[in-house]
Amino acid sequence: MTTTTSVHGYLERLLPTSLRWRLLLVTSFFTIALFFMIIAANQHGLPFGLLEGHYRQKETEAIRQMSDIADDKKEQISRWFKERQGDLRTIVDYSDFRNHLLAVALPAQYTSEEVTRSSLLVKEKFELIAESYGYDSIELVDSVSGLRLFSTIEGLNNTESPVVKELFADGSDWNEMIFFSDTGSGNSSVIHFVRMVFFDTDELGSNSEGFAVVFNIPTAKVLSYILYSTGSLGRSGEVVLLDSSVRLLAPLKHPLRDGSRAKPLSYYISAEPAKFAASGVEGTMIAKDYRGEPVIAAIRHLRITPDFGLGMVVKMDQEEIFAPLRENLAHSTLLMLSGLAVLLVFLSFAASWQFGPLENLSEMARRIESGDFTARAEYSGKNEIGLMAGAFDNMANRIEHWHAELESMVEHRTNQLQKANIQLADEIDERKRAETEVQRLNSELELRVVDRTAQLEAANKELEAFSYSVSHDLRAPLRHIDGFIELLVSRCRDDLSEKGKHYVDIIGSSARQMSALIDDLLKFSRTGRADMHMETMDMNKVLHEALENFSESFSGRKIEWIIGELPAVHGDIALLRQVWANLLDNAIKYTRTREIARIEVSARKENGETIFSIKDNGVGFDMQYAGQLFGVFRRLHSEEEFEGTGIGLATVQRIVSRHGGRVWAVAELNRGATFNFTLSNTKEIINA
Amino acid sequence: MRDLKPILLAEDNLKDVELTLEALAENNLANLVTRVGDGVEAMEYLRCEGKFKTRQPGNPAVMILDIKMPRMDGLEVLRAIRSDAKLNKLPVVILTSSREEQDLIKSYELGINAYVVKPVKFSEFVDAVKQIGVFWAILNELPPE
Repeated sequence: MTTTTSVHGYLERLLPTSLRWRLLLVTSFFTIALFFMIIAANQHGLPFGLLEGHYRQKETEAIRQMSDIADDKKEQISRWFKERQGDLRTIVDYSDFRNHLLAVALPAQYTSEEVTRSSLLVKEKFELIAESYGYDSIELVDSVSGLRLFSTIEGLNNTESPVVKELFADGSDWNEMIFFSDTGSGNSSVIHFVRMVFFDTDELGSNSEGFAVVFNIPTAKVLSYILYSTGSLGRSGEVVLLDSSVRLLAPLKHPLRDGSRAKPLSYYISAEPAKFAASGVEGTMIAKDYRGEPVIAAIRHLRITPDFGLGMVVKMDQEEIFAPLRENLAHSTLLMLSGLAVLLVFLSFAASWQFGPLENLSEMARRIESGDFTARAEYSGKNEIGLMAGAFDNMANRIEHWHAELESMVEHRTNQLQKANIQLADEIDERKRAETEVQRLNSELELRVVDRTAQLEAANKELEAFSYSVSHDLRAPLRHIDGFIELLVSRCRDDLSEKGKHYVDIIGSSARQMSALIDDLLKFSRTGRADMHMETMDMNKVLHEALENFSESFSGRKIEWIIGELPAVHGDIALLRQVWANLLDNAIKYTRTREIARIEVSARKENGETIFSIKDNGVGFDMQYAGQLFGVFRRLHSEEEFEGTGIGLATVQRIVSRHGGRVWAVAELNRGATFNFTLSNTKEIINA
Repeated sequence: MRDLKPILLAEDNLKDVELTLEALAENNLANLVTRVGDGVEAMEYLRCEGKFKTRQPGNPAVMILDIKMPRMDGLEVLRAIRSDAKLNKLPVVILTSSREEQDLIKSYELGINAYVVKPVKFSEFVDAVKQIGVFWAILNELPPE
């Protein structure tokens, strides 16, 4: 494409560098070219819808032309007929000549001299007229017999004229007639002009009787110069003549649809224009003719006499009329197409010239996108594309540079990562080893726990067996002591001295004391071992249940009870009842010395935990011994002052701590004591 | 006047036997008591075996049973009685020193008629044994054998 390139180079120098101006320039060029093309096309006859106007114009022209020709022909024919009629009237109506005719027709009424003279005159005149006006023949016919009395054609005298005989056959009443017949040589069409020569009615008595002068003229001969002088009717144009019954009068120019030739006087035309013309309508119409060919036709009706009319159709084929238009259309189309081709070539050239670099640029962008960073536009034009290409190349350079840099960075990082990975793998191995070690230790630990649990369970069993034997075996001897002392006292009372009775009492009381100790100790042991059945309960109800068991303890005592509302708690109902029982027992017992005992039970919330309190106005205790309060068998009072085994508070502490709570006392010697306890808010079961 | 059926006392401790008999004597029921020293002997008596082969047949009115006995303890005796078609309607009263919950539960599970803990105080013990004797040996009606 060196040529293109050099042309490009030339244009590059010639045209403005800005793409915008170039586009403007190209568009202007196209607009101007298109404008000229349309002008050219218009002058040639128009495609582009303007054809319709031209068609109409041509049609109007043709109609006018047909109309003009028709008027012209009509006038010519009418005039010709009038002239012929005039010829006839001149002869017939001229009285001198009429007398000669009568002499010829009715020789009997004239002298032979007169008849001979008249015969010569008639012959001379008839022959003169026939020759000068071109008639075939002129005859004098007897209207009754149909015999020719005289004919310009030799040898026809006294022969029958079939035409005239036929004319008078219907007995109609007329004095002038024009009609056509095929009596010419070779059956050709002949026009007959007939005028009656009547006798005076007085003379002849009958109106229908008389002679007829007949002018005969071959249709072709007479009308040819009128009908067929159709120079402005072109190749297809013609004048068609018919009588009022649509009968064709003169030969047609074209064969019929079936290829045959229409015979005048025996062919009736059925085409629309002919029908209209025959019926007396005048005008122009676009219709189909006797061949079925579309034509433009002018229709005329020629009234020659009141009884005789002719229809005339002047027509031309539409194909011939519009032929020039079609030719022009072909020319214009060719012109337009070649113009378009030129435009397309120019356009593609302009496009490749202007958009080639752009396409190249986008191709380069695609290559870069797909990873080929060496792609460059390398377009040095000074227009916008050139600037863009330059920028693109710069960008591509930088991308290539960055890409290379990135590659090296990625490689560097990959190396680092690989190193880190190796390190990490080492660490993971170490972790796994440590984990295995931990698992091993754990399983060891679990084994040890199982071991210890088994040991604990064994110890528990032992303890149970121990308390069982305590319960059963330790009490038996005590019962025996008590039993036999009773028996001794009841059965052998008299054998005992007062001192002996006293000793026996001491033995009995000691035995009972020991029995109580054993019972309490067992109870205490059970509170530590029994399963806990945790449930949510109404603490007020639990307190009252515990209180009911003490009704005997305060018979004959004045005790003022102040019992507040207690919240619901979660715990073992039997154990908590034991707590209240023990605390109430203490409170009742240690207020025994008060005239009016005062025991107050309440609950309060402090730091999110509920504290239950039971406060009395009893003997209290010295706070320095408070630490010993909750120990097993620890007592702050002597047996003589207040009975008891010293196990009640120890039991309370054990139950409270199994509920996750704590218990403590605040007291002052002789000024009462307050025992407080809490229960855990959690529902966890804690085994003490 | 019908013949009173005997009371079978299974108790290994002779002191307890004496105290029990003293208590029953207060209602003239002591002469109805047949005493066996352990579970094995108790079963021999009930099944008329061993040294009781020649005794007059028939079940006692009630069996007073201690739990802790040599050879075969009270709960084992109870299980044997309740699984024996001839003996399973025999009223059995456990009279024991044990207040252990487990003993109580097991005894009732095996179909005990009463469970009495021997009170330490002798007067109370006498009352308890007297009531057992009167109720089971005299008042209670048994289904026909």
